[in-house]
Amino acid sequence: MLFSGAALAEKTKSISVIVHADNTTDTLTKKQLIDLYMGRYVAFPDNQSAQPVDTLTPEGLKSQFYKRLVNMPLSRVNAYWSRVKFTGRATPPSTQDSEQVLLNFIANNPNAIGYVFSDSLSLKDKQDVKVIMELYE
Amino acid sequence: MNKSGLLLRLAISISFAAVFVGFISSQVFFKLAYQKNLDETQASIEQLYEVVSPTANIAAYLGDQELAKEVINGLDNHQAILAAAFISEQFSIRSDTYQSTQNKQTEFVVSSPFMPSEQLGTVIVQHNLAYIEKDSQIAARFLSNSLLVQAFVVTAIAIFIAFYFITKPILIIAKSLHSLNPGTARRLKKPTFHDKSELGNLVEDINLLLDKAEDQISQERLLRSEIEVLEKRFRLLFENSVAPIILMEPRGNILLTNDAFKTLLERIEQPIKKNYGAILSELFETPELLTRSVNSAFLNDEIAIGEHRLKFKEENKTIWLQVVVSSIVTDDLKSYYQITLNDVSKKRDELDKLSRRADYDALTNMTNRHAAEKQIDQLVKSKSPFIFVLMDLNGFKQVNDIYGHDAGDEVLIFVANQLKQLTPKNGLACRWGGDEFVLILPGVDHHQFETLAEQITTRIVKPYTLVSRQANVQVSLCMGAALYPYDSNHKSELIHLADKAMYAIKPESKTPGGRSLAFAAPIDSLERKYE
Repeated sequence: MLFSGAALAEKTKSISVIVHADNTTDTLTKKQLIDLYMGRYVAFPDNQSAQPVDTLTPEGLKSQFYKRLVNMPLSRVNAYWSRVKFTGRATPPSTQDSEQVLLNFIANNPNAIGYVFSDSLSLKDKQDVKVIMELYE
Repeated sequence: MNKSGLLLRLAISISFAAVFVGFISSQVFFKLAYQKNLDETQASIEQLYEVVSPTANIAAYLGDQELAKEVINGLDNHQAILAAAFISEQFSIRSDTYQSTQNKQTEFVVSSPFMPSEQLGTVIVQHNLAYIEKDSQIAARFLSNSLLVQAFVVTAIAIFIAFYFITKPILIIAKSLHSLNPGTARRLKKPTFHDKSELGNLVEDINLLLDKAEDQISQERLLRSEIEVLEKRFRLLFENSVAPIILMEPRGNILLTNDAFKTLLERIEQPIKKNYGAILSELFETPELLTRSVNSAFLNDEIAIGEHRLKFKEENKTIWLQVVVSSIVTDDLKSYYQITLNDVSKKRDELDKLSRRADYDALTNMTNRHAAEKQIDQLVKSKSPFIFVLMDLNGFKQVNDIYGHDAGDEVLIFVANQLKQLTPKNGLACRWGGDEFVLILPGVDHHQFETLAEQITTRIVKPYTLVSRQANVQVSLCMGAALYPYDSNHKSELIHLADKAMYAIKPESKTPGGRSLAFAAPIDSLERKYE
């Protein structure tokens, strides 16, 4: 936590899965999270539709997230989507440019779900979004 | 065709063996290939599934039927797979050819691509057993076909080799053997390339055998020619023998005769027959005698030799044959008689003549002293009583002196004829010598003889007309008689006694009316008288 920004520290940094503060879902199992992000389900367990979002920055966040979620490198995740996209049965998560943009998007979108490094969350952020899960190495 | 007997059999044997081995091996190979195909199919299906499993996992995970169909199609396309089915919580997809009952299928578990522990469904792959079987059959057929081709080629090569290295040389050997005569100097040639082979050895052995055969045959030929020469000589001897030779069985069946025998048969006017009785007895006058003499000779292990008369008379003359019979026993214990005949008639004739000359007096044709003495010997030997009469002519010397010897001879013949006529049949009259005559009368006593003596005297004292001189002459006689065995049982003594008696009466007999017969006095008294 003390060495923010350091590449080495990325791996040890926890990742928080966040939803809109009003979202009724307070917690998710890892399987439920996988099913949402890998396109199996498009709704939260309480049937509220879900819109998973990836972020491009900071560097390493997305890859760490998928590594911790499904234990796959991004290349394989991309391969999975390229195969799935072909039939149109499922769609990959949408993408936001940065954590801040993502936070804003979730704050304004009750159906959205995303992830950030836990130490990126400010107190102000925590008023708008809700952490429902933390992923560790 | 005889030629290919060996080859045909070889070809058939090899072909049968090849077909048998081919059949068995193709069966075994089919089983092996089928099992191998099954294993390979299993492996390739597993491999194939390995390829499609991510897609299958995703399809099950997302419940994506399109993706699942892709998986099924992908599996279906494989030759070794008959059908496939994809069963998950959300869907169940089967290919058209899927069979509910299938003995060979493989099930694969479909799990979540992200959580391998989470099972989402099953993929069932049914193996294409028909394809596997067909594939195995094709492989096995290929093998058996190649074996068949190989067998054909091997058979052809074997036949070729057998023909060139075995059959053809054997045929050549057989052909030259066929045209070869044992005993000649010709030998078999070894076939080419067979100097050291079994066939070469066979030819060597055959040639050795031929050597032996030639030796033996030439020896036999030599022997045969010797025998032929010998036989020719024997035949010459036999055929040209003057004496008839007959070989017969003891019962009389004639086996062999020579020309001389046939000539003899012609001469005695007998038909040629197979049998003339035992020892030709039919031909002889005295068959019992012949048989008896032969039997007794054989009993004594001797060759029977005897002279016998033939029944047949040639111009009233007896034919005498010397018969020599020998018994032959062959090695196989068969008995034969060998008969040799010699015509001894001539010899007999001469002997007869000789004996006649010896026994008869040529002038008077009456027995002579020699014969008379023989007769006495015989009578003495058989102890038959007889009377011996010695007589002497009186007046014969005067006839001789006056009229000559011819007249004397005439008188002697006259006297002899008278004596011959008066002598009884069993008696013998003989000219003892000069003007002496003898009578030997068996079974006549001196009374009987006195009567006979009177008759004799009467006849002889009758005047006799000489044929040559036309003159009458007269002789008288005196007789001395001795009786056997009364007077003596010795010939010389008997003669002596008769002589004495005759001389005793001689003077009286010369006187007319005087006695002319005197009997012998007993020796004792006679001797006493002379003493």
